[in-house]
Amino acid sequence: MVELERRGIATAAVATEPFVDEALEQARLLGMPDYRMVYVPHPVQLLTLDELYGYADAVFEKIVARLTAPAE
Amino acid sequence: MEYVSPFDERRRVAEPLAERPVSLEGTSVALLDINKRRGDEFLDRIEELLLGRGASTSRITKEIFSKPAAPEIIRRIADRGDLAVEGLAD
Amino acid sequence: MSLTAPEFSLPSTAGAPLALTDLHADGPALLLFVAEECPTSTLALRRLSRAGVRVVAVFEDPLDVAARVARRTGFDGLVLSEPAPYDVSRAYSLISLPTAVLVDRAGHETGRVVGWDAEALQSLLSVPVTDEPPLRKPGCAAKNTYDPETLRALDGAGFDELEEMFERGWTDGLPVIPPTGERVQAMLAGHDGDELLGEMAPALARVTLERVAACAVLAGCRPEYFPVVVAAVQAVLEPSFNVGGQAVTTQPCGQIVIVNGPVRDAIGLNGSSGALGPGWRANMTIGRALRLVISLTGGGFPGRLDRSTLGNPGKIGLCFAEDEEVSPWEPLHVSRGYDASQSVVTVFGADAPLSVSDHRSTEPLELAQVLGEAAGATWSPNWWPLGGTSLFAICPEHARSFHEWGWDKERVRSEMFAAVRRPAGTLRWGETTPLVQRASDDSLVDKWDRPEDIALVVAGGEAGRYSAVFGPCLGMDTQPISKEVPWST
Repeated sequence: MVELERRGIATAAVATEPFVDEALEQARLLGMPDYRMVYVPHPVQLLTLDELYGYADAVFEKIVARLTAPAE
Repeated sequence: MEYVSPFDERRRVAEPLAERPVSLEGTSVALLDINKRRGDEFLDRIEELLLGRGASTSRITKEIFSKPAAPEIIRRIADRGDLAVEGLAD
Repeated sequence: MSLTAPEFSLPSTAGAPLALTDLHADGPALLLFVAEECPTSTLALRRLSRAGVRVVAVFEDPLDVAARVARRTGFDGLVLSEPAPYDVSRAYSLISLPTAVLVDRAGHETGRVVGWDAEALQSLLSVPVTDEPPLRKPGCAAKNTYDPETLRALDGAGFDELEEMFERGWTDGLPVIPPTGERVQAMLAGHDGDELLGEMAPALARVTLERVAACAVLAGCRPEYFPVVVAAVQAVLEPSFNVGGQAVTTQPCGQIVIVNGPVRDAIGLNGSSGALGPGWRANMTIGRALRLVISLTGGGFPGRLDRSTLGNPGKIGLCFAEDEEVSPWEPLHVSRGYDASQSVVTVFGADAPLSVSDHRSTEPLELAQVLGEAAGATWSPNWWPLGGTSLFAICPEHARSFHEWGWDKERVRSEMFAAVRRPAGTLRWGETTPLVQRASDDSLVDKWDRPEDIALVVAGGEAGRYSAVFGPCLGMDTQPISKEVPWST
């Protein structure tokens, strides 16, 4: 995602919650300390399709917020 | 007492994030699947919601989740699209 | 009754030295005389952070020790450091620590409390001090009361180098050897510390020879081991090893270092009795040095970027020699294309070893099947085919038996591959592969994709028929990588 940001591509990367600390440290190490990810609850492997879609629905606005900027 | 550090202590200059558009309307969004199980299903739903907001979408999958995306994938997304959603890391 | 508090100027963690007049300029100040080795002092530092007045800790310790203790106790007042022979403590007529001396705005001492005494402190300060036990605790002798000989003996004893390494996080949880410039230079033995071996993920750190030497010193290596460590680092830096993926995965895998050739004897690397376990400096420290490069320099530190769910004991480091002399077979490095006389390091991404006892088999196919079936349960019982390498450490008795029965390494491999297969119907529960999902109930599924995924080395003591198979590292697209040891010492 840092590679894409460097090329002018706004990104929203999604991970499950246990990855918060790792993501922040990784972003710092890669030179974009302000990069933030979007998180869904953990675990996801055993969810039904409906439940997984529910997680997607729940974080969609956060994804939109990561991808867009507020109007001036 | 002076020690030789095992760490690479370089301070990386913080780089700015890419610019963001004001809305999703009319943008193209690449959905990058990092190739872990259930990621494709998750992105299916995100794709549906993005289409509902007036964005166009495309799908790309990494060859293997445990290595960085190949340069060609980065290039393809950068050439084609405005935005990207990457998932699902668990 | 008030006496003028003796004036002083002492180094502080604020940067510039601070004088007594600075401290009481805005209001009363509580001087808290303390020392690192005094447990009651530590107690006072913890409890007096909020005392309603400015609290100034005056340590009878070097400034860096004082700073460390302040950090550790959560003390956020001013921190000063008094050098030996502790004239300021003498001027304040200290007998024991901690001693709290209250100085008013005019620079007069208005009271003092010796030791930890919550009630006395409460009346001195007119603010609530904790009511947590203990309410009273005696302290320790102040250093100004020590005779000159004791003082000389104590000089520098406040700074604990080994604790400092833990404080800095330069360890894997075990004590390390501090990497002083001298020790690192000795490890480099004239080689250029700035030589760049590569960049290691996830930190994308530049792995210089000097940083590898620092890790080798930390690990406890002798300089003779260094070229072996360098070869191991070069091996993991190969892109097809994918050390970055292994360093951050939730999988248990570590990196196993196997050494062949003359260097083994030159450095006393063990490949016989107890080869996988503790007891030999070369084995323990070389494996450890590689892991320190990966977890410190490379950034794959357990609990941080390394998300391994359980880890495995081998991640402290695992290095052993193949016992080429006892083995009836071609050694690993020769199988991989090197000359027998070359010293070579081969690194595998792999999980902990699973011991396989066989004191009964009387035929080669029987033994091969026992070893192979044990491997069958690694990763997950029904994950067939494995999709990765199974590394076996075959003990001398097993290897010798195969040899006496006429089987070389290739034969063992191909027969084991063919023997270990099961009907897909028996594997279709729990964690199983897409291939099993798709296959019909009776079609036979091999444990491995191909015989080349079975790697065999010979190691272990002469007595006992216990071999071992290491769990795989999967989904990393990783290959075992061999590198020649770059120079001899």
